Amino acid sequence: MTSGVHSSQPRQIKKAGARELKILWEDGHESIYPFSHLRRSCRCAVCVDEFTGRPLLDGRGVPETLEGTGVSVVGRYALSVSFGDGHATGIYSFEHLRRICPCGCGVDRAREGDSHVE
Amino acid sequence: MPKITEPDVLKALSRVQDPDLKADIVSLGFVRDVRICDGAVAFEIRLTTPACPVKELLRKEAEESVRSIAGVETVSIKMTSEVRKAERKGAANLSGVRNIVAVGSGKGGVGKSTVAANLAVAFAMDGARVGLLDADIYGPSIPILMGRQGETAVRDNLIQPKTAHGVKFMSMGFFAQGDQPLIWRGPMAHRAVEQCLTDVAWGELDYLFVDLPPGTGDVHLTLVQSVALSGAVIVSTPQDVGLTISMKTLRMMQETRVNILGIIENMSYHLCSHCGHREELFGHGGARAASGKLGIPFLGEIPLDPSIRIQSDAGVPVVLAAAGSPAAEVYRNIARALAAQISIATHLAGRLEVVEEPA
Repeated sequence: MTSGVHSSQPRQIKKAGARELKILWEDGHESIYPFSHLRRSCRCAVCVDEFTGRPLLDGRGVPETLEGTGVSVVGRYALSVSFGDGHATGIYSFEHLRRICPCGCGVDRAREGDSHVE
Repeated sequence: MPKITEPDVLKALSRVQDPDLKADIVSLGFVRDVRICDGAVAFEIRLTTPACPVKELLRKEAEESVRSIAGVETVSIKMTSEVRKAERKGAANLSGVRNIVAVGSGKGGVGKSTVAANLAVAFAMDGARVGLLDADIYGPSIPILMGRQGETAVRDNLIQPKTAHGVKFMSMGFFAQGDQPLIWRGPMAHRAVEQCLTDVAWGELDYLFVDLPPGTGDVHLTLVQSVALSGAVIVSTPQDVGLTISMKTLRMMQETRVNILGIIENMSYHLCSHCGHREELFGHGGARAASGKLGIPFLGEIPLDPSIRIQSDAGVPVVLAAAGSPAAEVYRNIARALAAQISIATHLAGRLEVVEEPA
């Protein structure tokens, strides 16, 4: 579930206005995600080919100013995010969110902890 | 004679530890309504489940502690329970449901539905308010096990669950009649599960058990995404192959962060009805060994016993039909071990919600 020293268990989740999502993790680290970054990191079947893993979304087409219109908790393991461009099919597991922290702290995390339930 | 005060009583009671929640009964808020009249002390201990396995132990220790206070002559303790709610957001009609517990297995034929029905009835026999949702679209068998079939009634736009043996239940089998199969693609199964959670008049329940189909499919995903489960129980048989496959269900639960409340080994051994010899037909102890390795509670072993099958077919789970029999006692004990695990999970689980703040 949690690999390495980083926690992927959120303590607090905040939607700060329409531009940013903030997650405070159990290990005390705070990740601040612009919604445009989350949109580019979407792994739903519309954005990433389910079988080959090839990206189907061109991240360059996502404006930096893209707004987040809603965030809700999915069960106990993930977030669902809806965006200003109408996209809302992505489920972001906490593991995935920690890995894509914009500060880069999650990059060294092994992909073995990758959740396939999305 | 010294006058006994409420702080004296609470101090004495704070020496009594709940072995499962690992805290004393005063700081857990179990002690209520302390009354003192000269040498007579009366209070209430409100536990987190009516099926508490350590109820008698706590009562005895509490009584001894208070009795040790100078001047106390009589101690009277009222044992009650109030099942605490697992923090979860969800549909309004589930707001009265305190805990949702999934019962899963890696493959079919391990007796998962029989186990689910017996556990539900065992909890009800201990005084809990219990619901049972049969979400097994491939082989909905709860209506047979509970002895009530036929159509369900709809009132105020809500499906009315049926009631048998003190348990409210609803089955996917009610969506098809007689021997008609449910031939559904994913989206239909998804919608049906959602409907069974939100459009059924479950009312106030302490525990809602969900009997899952075998494996890891649409129904499982819908369930873990629609509600925050208090946890899941895995039913396995002792054979290795059963266990390997159970591990897959277990991993899915872990990936979706569902608490694994424990493993139950079904068809664990056979007691000869003539000589009482214990025969381990499929090998033995596989589930216990695996749970030890994975750090998951082992809840118990259920024997292969013809009475379990006979009572199941007759529509009265063995735990009630043959109350007091060895098989029934095994189920009662597993139910209590499970109740303790649910209380622990609820006690530890934090609430996760998204806070909106202006930029």
